[in-house]
Amino acid sequence: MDAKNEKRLSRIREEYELYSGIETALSLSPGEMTHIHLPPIRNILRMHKKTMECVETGEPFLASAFSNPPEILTAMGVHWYFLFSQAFAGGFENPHIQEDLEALDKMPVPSDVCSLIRLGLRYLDGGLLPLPAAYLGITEPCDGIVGVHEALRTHLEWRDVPSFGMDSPYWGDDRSIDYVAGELKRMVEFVTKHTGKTLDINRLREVITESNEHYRLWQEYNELRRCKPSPHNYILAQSCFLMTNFEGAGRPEHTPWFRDLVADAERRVRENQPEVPNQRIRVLWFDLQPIYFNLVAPWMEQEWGVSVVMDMVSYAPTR
Amino acid sequence: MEERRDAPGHSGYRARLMLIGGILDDPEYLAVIEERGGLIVADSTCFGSRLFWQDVDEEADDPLRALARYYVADRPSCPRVFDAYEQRTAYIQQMIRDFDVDGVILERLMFCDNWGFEQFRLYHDFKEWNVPLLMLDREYTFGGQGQLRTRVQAFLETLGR
Repeated sequence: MDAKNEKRLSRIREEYELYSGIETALSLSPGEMTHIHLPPIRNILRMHKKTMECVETGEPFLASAFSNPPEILTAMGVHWYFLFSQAFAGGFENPHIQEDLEALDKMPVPSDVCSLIRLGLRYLDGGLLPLPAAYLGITEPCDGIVGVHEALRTHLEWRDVPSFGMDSPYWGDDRSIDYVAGELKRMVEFVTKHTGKTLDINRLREVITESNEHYRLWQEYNELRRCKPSPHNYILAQSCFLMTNFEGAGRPEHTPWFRDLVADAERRVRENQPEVPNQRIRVLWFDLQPIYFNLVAPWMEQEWGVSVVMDMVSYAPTR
Repeated sequence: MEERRDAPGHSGYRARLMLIGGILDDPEYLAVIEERGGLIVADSTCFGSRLFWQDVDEEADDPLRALARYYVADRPSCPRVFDAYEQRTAYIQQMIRDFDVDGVILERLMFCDNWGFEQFRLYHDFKEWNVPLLMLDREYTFGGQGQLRTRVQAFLETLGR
């Protein structure tokens, strides 16, 4: 593999090593929550391993965002990675965040632009994104997302990568639904053209049935979070998003995890055994969790008895 | 226009500049640049020449469709529009050539994401084209005139003027 591709994979390799270590440690010394914490970690490991394999073997894969229906890509058997995933480091403290923020200050992007979006540009400009066979953009009503996809489309290293930007309407009437369905069909044709993978509609039905079950269980979990005290800490609700919206959405092996999650929350409510003791303040975290969320949330829990009982990432996509 | 073609133009300026960026409706902003010796000879701003550089097709069977084509396809669009970067940059490059531009000033109204991303892309392209570029953020109310003077002055000096 050449040096450029090695660099593009470097962060994914690092994260893989980090999560492998955590998986081993949890497996060697299991606790009462291990069966709930392990599956999301194994899902990240599976995704990263597949990305590395694709780069090493030349198997076509995509870059995308979670707003593009991931069920379709699961049904087509196409691997993809999320363009901004490095920013979150899977929910752990990002070891490169200081270096990345310093790099951002030197970039020709104004500081008043959303910092998550600017980090995406940092990974692009720093040559830290694996180069896919094609990528899926989306022209949703977020100026930053449109800007990122245009930046990818015109960037020196990415301008030869074919792109598809699904157009989304502002209304939810029948005309808009027909329009989006047409866009999705065009997206499938585009993916087939660049990966060779086709869509079997019956397979898509199976995936949707499974992902509906995931969302149903997620909603049940969110209802349990309403209880006083709330059953879990801030981590697991974010894992629900990971398990439904990233590569592998609608996978049947995720269903037992959702059931275990709900069962554990139910037990804690029933037995009055919350993960966060002495809850005094209930918080709705409005909008996306910031990159420092995984630092500030434990502090809020321990110092102030804060329970983040709802956040928009854990609620907005619930159907 | 024919009469003016060979008439004496402005003199005494230090450099011929093009101004690009978002909305700009304050002539004072241009006056500050020009008082430092930068003659603005072309522009591509949201209220500027790119809005009218193309004509609407007067011969079209359906004038409404002709107007629609003009608004969404024929004229270079705002950076909000997907897939239109090449059209905008082709327009900028054409203006640089046609108006014999020495350097370009990009002014961006703060918190305009669309021009923020355009700035990221243009920064790389201007390097590739080897055209000097000055990037300026500004507020809608015209403050920081002294800072603008200093930046423009320094830019003109980097142009060797």
